[in-house]
Amino acid sequence: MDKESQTVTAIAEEKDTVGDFTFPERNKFDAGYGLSEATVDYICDVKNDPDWVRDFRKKALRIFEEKPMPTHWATKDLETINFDKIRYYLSDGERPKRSWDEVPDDIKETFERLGIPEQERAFLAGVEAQFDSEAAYSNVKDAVSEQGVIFVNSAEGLKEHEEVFRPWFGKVIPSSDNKFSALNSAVFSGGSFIYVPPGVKVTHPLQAYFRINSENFGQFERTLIIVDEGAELTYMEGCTAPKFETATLHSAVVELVAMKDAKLQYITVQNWSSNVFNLVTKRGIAHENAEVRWIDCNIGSRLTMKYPGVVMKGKGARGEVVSIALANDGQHQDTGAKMIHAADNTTSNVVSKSISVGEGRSTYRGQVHIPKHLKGCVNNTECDALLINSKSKTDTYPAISVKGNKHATQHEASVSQVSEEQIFYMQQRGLSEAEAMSLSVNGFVNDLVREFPMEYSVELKRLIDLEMEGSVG
Amino acid sequence: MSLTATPSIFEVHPDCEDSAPVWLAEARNEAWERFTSLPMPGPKDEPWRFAGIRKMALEGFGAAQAVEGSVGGDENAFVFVNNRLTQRPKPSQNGVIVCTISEAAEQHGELFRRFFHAQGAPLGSEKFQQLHLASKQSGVFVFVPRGTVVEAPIVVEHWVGEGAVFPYTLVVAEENSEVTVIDRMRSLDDTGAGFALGLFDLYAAEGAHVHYLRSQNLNLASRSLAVGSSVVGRGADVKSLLLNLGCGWSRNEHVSYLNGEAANSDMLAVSIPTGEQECDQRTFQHHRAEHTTSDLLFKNVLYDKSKSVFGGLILVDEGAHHTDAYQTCRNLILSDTAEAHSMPGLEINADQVRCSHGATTGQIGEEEVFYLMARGIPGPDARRLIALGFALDVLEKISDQRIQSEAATALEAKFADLF
Amino acid sequence: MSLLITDLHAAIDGTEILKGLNLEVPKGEVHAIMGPNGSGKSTLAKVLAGHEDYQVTSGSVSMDNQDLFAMEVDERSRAGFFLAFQYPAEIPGVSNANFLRAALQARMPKGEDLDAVEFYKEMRDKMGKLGMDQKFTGRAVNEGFSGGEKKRNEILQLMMLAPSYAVLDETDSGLDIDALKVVAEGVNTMRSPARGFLVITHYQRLLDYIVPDVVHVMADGKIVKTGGKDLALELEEKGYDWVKEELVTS
Repeated sequence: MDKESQTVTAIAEEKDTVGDFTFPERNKFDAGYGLSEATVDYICDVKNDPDWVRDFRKKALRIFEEKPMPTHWATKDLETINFDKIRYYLSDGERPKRSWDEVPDDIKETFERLGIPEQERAFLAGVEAQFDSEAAYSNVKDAVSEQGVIFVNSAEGLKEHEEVFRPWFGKVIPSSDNKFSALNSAVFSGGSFIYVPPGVKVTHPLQAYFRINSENFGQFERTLIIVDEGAELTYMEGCTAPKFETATLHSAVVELVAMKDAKLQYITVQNWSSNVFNLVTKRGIAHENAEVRWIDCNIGSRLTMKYPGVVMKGKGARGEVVSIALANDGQHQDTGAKMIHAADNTTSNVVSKSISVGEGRSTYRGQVHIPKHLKGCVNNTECDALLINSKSKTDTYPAISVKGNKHATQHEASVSQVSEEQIFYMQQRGLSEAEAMSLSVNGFVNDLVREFPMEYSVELKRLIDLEMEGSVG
Repeated sequence: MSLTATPSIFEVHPDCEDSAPVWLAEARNEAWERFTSLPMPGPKDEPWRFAGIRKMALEGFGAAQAVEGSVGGDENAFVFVNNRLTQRPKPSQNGVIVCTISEAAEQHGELFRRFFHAQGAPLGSEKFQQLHLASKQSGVFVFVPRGTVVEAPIVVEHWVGEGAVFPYTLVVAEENSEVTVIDRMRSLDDTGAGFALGLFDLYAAEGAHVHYLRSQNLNLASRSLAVGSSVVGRGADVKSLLLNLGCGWSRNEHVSYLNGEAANSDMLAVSIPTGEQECDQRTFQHHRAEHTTSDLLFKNVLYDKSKSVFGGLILVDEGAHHTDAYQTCRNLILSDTAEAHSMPGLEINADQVRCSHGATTGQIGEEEVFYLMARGIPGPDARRLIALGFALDVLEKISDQRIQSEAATALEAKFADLF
Repeated sequence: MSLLITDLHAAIDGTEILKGLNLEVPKGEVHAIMGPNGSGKSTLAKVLAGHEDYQVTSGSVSMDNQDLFAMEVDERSRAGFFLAFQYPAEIPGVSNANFLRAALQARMPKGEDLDAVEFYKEMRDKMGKLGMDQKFTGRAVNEGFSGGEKKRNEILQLMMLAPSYAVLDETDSGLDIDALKVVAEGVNTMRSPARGFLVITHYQRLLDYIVPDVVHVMADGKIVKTGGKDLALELEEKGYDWVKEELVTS
């Protein structure tokens, strides 16, 4: 079984769940191919955007058009994206459904195959599921909303909760941050808006699923999460897409805000099919004594470029990125972390492990920035790469800037193989080569897999086993 | 900027000696064309990330002019003053060629031509490398025949006043030979703004050993840009140490090509920027064959408002299996206004490799200072001793005693001047 | 002439560790401080040396009538105070020889230089006595040294710097019996009417080899009992609880 036919879902028991299926499109709204101001107007009209959003989108469109592709440092593969052959908005025009029964049957079936209802029934605090451009199903457990937690899609957020939404929207990641954040800002649709009031600790994770169902489609969801003073939240997202003949684009922007003493953890398991360009901008702001953690696993996609960041804006703030990447044939996982220290006694930590299989390529790019006149900033970065086959590739490109003498930074990176003696030893004890390899690779990422919720970590192990089966012999 | 009235080296193709062979004159003309057509590097160019472009201010220098009198350099050294030979040591061992670049071009045409400017400048300074080629170079050509061990180190001193000089050290060590070369960059006085645009190419054929020290201690008004290569053949070994003590702005670009099985390159550097000095270093360890090894250790001790930049890359080619490559950059920051930028890098395309890089930035540990003070050493001395120790630690990796002791003396002198 | 500690109170991060400690070590005598873990023995050593993590809240220490607390860490050392650390720091890149030279040079009058030849001769001689390999001269201070090598290195420094008062902080910890004998022998050769020792230890074993003139028992930040060398044996036999009980009942 190849990876494309695998999907990460939260359902470990549903072994046969696969992401590689589609339903006939029945899109009432389709912005058509290509991107122009008319496309943006079309999206605004369909979504009935307020004027400030329309302005925001149009400004972003101009930035997108002006900005060159970042190929002076990134892969040339980006040049194969043809922005004129992408559809930027697709929707069946229906409002998000609040109860499972109201969801159209084919979408329901898709999500059922992805295991969402079980999750819902099992324990979930809330699920937001996005099918192409718009959320198809969305519900928040009464208990959570009673605590004053807002969990809606971004369209609803900007209209119904403008006073909370607007001050932070586009502030963590300005449209001009990079070409793809500008693209997202121009055509965004869907994604989550979450607000957790002061002191509220959301005990169960909130979840979202993203699914691309249509060929030549670009998904541009936009997520904004604000966790107010002393509040806590864990958010999980999963992504899948069927394999189409032509490339598909996913370009999200995720902005996180952790106010004083807040804790926010954002977990992603990305398993797009292997022709998706996954070009995502993710950044969080941590205020005084707040903590933002990105826990990120990238298994799918053709090219992923994603460098979750934390701006430690308040004293004592903490930022962390924990990431696992698995790159198989035809895949390039270009991931990393960006740690911006902007206050005293801030601490950041990056642990990145990548596995390159077959002709896969994994890249780590990191940035650590400690500006003038701060004290007590600490960064630790550790990136380890494992190469499985002789054609597997890996790169590491960190940049660490430190000003002043009251800080400590440490970056360590290593590249290694599964040792032949290790494999031999295990084989001598009766394991097959693939089993031995799986065991070693699982050992390599084991400490990080533990960071994921249990059902995800079981799934991750299973995926690694599958990847390893094809890699030996 | 240059205070000389001579035309800028950026604007007028400098006169080279008439005695240069035709091939060299042609090469210089072509290089001048390429130099003028290539754009000036800017901060957006990846190899110049974090570089203090403003501080570089390389334009405007005229070629350094001849000066009267002697500088009293090392009597065992080739001494160049403002790009002109003023002294040569006693002739070297039989069979070993040690001569100036101009002499080599005239007397050892074919041999010299094979190696002269044969390496590119892949780390950002192609434009300046072309300017170097277009200009009249000072410096020496060293050719050590098969199996010859050159006992005494070959020492070259470049004394620089106002204006630009173009030093070149080209070392070719044939099979199983061994040689040690020491380059010293010195200023004629404390104020003359010099610009040393230098090249060094170190070739080690099968089984050869080359040891190299480049000790740069120009005055603070000067700039230095050095483009260097270590080209290492099968079972050969090149060990280089770059000391960056002087210059307002200095940059080294050093590549190592590990071309044959079991080739090894050790790349070492110590930089002690103080005041507003900036030291920028870019490196490349290119493993092109199996079972090759390289080890890089660059240490920076930063005072005052100084700045360091390190950008390094280990590239292991497809098929260069069983490579061991290491790269470490350590910054010790001793002031709240100094800054260190580190960009180590790895690109691994082969199997069964052991590669790692590390970059640390930190300060002096208070426990260490306390321990030294508890033995009666005053605080500032304790800090200086620890910082010196941090720097001297690099020399442990040098096997050549002469390089080790010269480097230690230079470092101790720099630290002695600090307070 | 003595090292005189009067009503010493000291704290770390606001927690008081030394709670009114009184002690006098006259020149020419060896005093031992024994006591259970956490009684404040190592704190006393660090406070005397001047470690900045510890705050002296009240009390005084005079060394031959000089106010120890009026001096910086290095001044105390040059004035004749020596601490053999329990956990000596590692100083990468600074060779043992250069380190000792710097320490001795710091003791020379301005403008005078240490006689390098004499220095090396003396150092080699003392290393020989401590059974230290000559290669330690070139090795970085304590870096990569075993526990025993570090302690020997502390005693080498003691011998080279020849202080007026030396505090040995758990110098016996982590030493096997042979190393312990060598270290003790080194200390014994340094015993003299011109020098006072304060030997801090948890175990009586060290005191078999460095025989003290006076033994103090420390508990809860104070000296609670003082006696002759037999007190150490008594402690070994009965444990520290005995002292504590005696305190409570008295």
